[in-house]
Amino acid sequence: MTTRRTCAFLLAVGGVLLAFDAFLWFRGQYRLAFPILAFLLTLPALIVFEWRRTGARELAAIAVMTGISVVGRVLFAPLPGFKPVSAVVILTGLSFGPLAGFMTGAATALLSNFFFGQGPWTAFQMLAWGAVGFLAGLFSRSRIRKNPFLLCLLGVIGGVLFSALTDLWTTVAATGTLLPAAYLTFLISGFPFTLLYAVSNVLFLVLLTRPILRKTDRLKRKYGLFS
Amino acid sequence: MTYADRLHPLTVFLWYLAILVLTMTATSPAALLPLFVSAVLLRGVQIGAKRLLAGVPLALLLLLSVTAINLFLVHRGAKILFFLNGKPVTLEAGLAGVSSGVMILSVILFCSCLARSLPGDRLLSLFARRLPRLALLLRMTLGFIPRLRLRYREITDARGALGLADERGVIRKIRARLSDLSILTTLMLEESMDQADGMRARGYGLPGATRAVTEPKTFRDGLLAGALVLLLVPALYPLFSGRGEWNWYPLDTAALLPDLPLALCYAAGTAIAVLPIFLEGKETLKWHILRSRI
Amino acid sequence: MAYLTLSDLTFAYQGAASPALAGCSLSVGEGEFLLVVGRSGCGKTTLLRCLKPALAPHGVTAGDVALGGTSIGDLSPRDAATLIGFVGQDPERQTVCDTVFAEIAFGLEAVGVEGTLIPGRVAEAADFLGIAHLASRKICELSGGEKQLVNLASALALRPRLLLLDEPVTRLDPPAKLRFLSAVRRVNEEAGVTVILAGHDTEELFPVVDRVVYMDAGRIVSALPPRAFVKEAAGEALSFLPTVPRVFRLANGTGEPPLSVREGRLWLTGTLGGKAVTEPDGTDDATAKDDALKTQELLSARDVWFRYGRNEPDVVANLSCTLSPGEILSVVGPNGAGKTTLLKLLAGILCPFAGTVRYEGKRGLPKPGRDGIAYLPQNPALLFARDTVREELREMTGGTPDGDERIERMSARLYLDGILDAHPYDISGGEQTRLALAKLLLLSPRVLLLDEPTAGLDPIAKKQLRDLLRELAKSGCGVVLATHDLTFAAVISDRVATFFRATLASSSDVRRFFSGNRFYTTQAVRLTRDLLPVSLTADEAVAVLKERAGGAT
Repeated sequence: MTTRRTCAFLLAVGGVLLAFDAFLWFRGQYRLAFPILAFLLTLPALIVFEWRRTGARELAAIAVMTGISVVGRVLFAPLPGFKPVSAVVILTGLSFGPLAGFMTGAATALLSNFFFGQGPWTAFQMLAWGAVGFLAGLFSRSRIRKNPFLLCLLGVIGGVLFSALTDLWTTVAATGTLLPAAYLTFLISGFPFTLLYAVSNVLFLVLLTRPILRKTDRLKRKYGLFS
Repeated sequence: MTYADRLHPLTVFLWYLAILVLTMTATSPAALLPLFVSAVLLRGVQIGAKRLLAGVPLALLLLLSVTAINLFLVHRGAKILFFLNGKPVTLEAGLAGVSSGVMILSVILFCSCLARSLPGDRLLSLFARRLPRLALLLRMTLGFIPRLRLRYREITDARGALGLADERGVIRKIRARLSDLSILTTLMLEESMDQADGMRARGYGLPGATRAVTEPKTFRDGLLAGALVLLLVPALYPLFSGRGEWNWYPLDTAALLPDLPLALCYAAGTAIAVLPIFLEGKETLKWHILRSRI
Repeated sequence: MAYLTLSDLTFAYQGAASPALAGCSLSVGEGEFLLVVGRSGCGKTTLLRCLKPALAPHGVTAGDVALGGTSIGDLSPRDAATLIGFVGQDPERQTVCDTVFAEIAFGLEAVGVEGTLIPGRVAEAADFLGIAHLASRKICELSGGEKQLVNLASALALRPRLLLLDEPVTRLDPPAKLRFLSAVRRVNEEAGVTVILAGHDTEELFPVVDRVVYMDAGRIVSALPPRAFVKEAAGEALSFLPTVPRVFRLANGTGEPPLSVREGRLWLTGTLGGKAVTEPDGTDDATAKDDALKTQELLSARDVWFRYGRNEPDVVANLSCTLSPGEILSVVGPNGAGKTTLLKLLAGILCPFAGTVRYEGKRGLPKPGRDGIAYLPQNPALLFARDTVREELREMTGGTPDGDERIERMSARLYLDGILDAHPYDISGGEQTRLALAKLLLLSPRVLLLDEPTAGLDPIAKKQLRDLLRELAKSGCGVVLATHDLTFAAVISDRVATFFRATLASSSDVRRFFSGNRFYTTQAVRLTRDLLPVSLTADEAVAVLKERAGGAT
């Protein structure tokens, strides 16, 4: 199967799903429509990832970062709200760019749910962490990527986006529709956790960014990674 | 060895996908209830009654909380039970909540059935055809995970023995852990470059890569795929035509019992969910009989 | 007819002052088995990598490499991937996938072998190497030796005609090493694959290979059949000779040089002319020494039990041992037996489940690090957190006023002064070991626990390590080292203990240990047993022979 055919196939799947999703939306079948939408939003990144023929070294580097965040998520599972995933994903984005950040986030969600249980929520987690990594990756070539304010901002966004998207699924699953009052209630009741996510992300990032970026920069220079 | 192990992963995957789509779009109790019962039975056949019962408290908790959410947050419906903060709490909302809870439980049950019938390894081999690089990424990560755990332990041990992970003070402790994490990242990234060399040495990135065929499709797969298509046509009919679309607000008790064509459609959907129970159940029974003969 | 021809191959890394390879010319016949020896950093790895286009390092290349008449630059990428197989040093680091089958199939998929044929090809390669039973296992469950065989199978599945092996067995214990090398030999003999192996494992390979290529500072000094190499070797090349030919050369033997123990004994019998001595192994004085050492106790373990989880097997069971100041104790035994766990227990990193570890007579867990117990892990890189060697050393001295001075002294003592500004990951394996040791020594430890410190070191680096450890022991430091390098254990230790079935099976004076064992012993003992007074090392045997020769004249 060549890369071109792979991508054509994925585009076709995307098209069919898009049509189906629109139809579900029209029918008011939000419970299925939302997860499919979330999956559709991750699809472009997956297609680009296949299309670019990501090299062996880049693939290996992304795999290591994914492994670290999966292990982090599993190890810290007993502590609610304290998950290094967003931080590792943001660091990957800052080091290796938007696509690597997205893939690390998405792959972490997909893989760690082999331990925690797969379900429609996987699509939302993939999207949430992927988007955080993507966002961080936009700054990978910028001079302000070690700026503490940027790190705080990314950390908070990482925490909020994850809560917002997972609560979106919870709301839709529980009420069958996206009821603003219900969504708000979930967001508010989950606020302490969101805060904890955000704070732990910021803490991780502020302490880890400098040493890790120094090391990944060296690696990029030495092996010509992501160049 | 279960029945699903002898099928092509694609067959198993599509079959469960169909069940999940049907479950998540089933709105009327008449469509949902049989699916829920099949989910419970299928899981029971897979893991046994004892472990199934162990999950009941958690399931009840979920059911209750989903019902409560609907009761107190959805204020539509005609049969008002009481008022809370000036807002009506309705019977319909409660019933919709129960139905939502049952739906979520069915989805969770079917998902765990899928995970058992199609463990990560086989699911990956399925991905490998269509998303080769993502599948490879996942495979590599799975290969890394045990090594990461081992390395992390080695690092904390070795650094601890240097006396650098001083146990006094929370901040120091956190700093020591984070520095261990940073060492882990550097070390594994450096090691992974060797991995990449190993991949390139064996021709990674050449055009025209293939996939090993380890599980050829058999006659049984064809048979089941045919059956799936035949059953899906009527089973999806309500969704596409909009017939029998269910609405809790207001509650129409007369519509609880579907008419005959609709009932047949629901039966087709239920049949898709029931077939795995028989196939897996038969297997379990066979093993029991075989064992009793030994 | 040469199959592989290197003509005047020169290579320099980007920005390097001197070339890593300088004018290397060599022609290799089809089906030849070549061993490449030389100090680490002499260009062995660079040479091997330059022969495989996908692994060619970045830099400036001149000269040409031709395979079967075509320049390797002109080979199609697919041919380059299949014709030339490569297996590297660290078995852990090369596997890509999570299961053995997927791993071996990886290359076949990448080069586009038809999907239905792949399982057969995987089976063929795995079966040839005797690892077919591992096919559905997870890679992480395998031992190092098994992993390396999987790596070999992955290369073989592509049906290469040239196999490049870069120090493939330095991380394996002796049985796994022999298994791997005999597999390589079969690949060479039965499948006719040309093999080029770089490494320090001359003991096992000299009797087998067709030619020995000796490299120094990026040049190919000689490429001779082993016996000719033994005859010609001079200067530094002598340290790369295995025990038997080394004794032959240093004792000025005449005739055809022996390569194996069997040949060595025949030669020795001939030289001695029936004057073989069968005196009993002198053990009396050894016992006396044993007792003298036992008087003082620095570190001791008494009836220690340990397991990693409640329902897991005992890794250490009912183990007792003691270490005196200035004593060097070697713990030998296969990989994965629990040697590392024992060291961690002694270091106070792990807590025994039952029994006690006493340090300087004090009961309870010794506090790691600052209290004078230092532990060197098998992979020294685990200790590196900073960006330069100097920073690494500074991490240990903290902000103490005399810190920089101490760093200076330590780096001079451990030959690190030339690389103080290099990144710890960019220096060689031997240098990494020395850097890690320097970090530990900055703690001024009284007990040093070393886990496989000789893995991957060339003979000269081993000599440096030996001198350093002896010096430390003389200053009163107790050393425990876990190793499967018997020759090193024989030169360095005062006492040797075997780790077997979760405990130390026997612990005795080094001389008694090695002379008492028939198989689990050094080449020198095997060579001299019943012919000469038992000698543990080549140098000892040479001394005995010279003394005899002197006495005869």
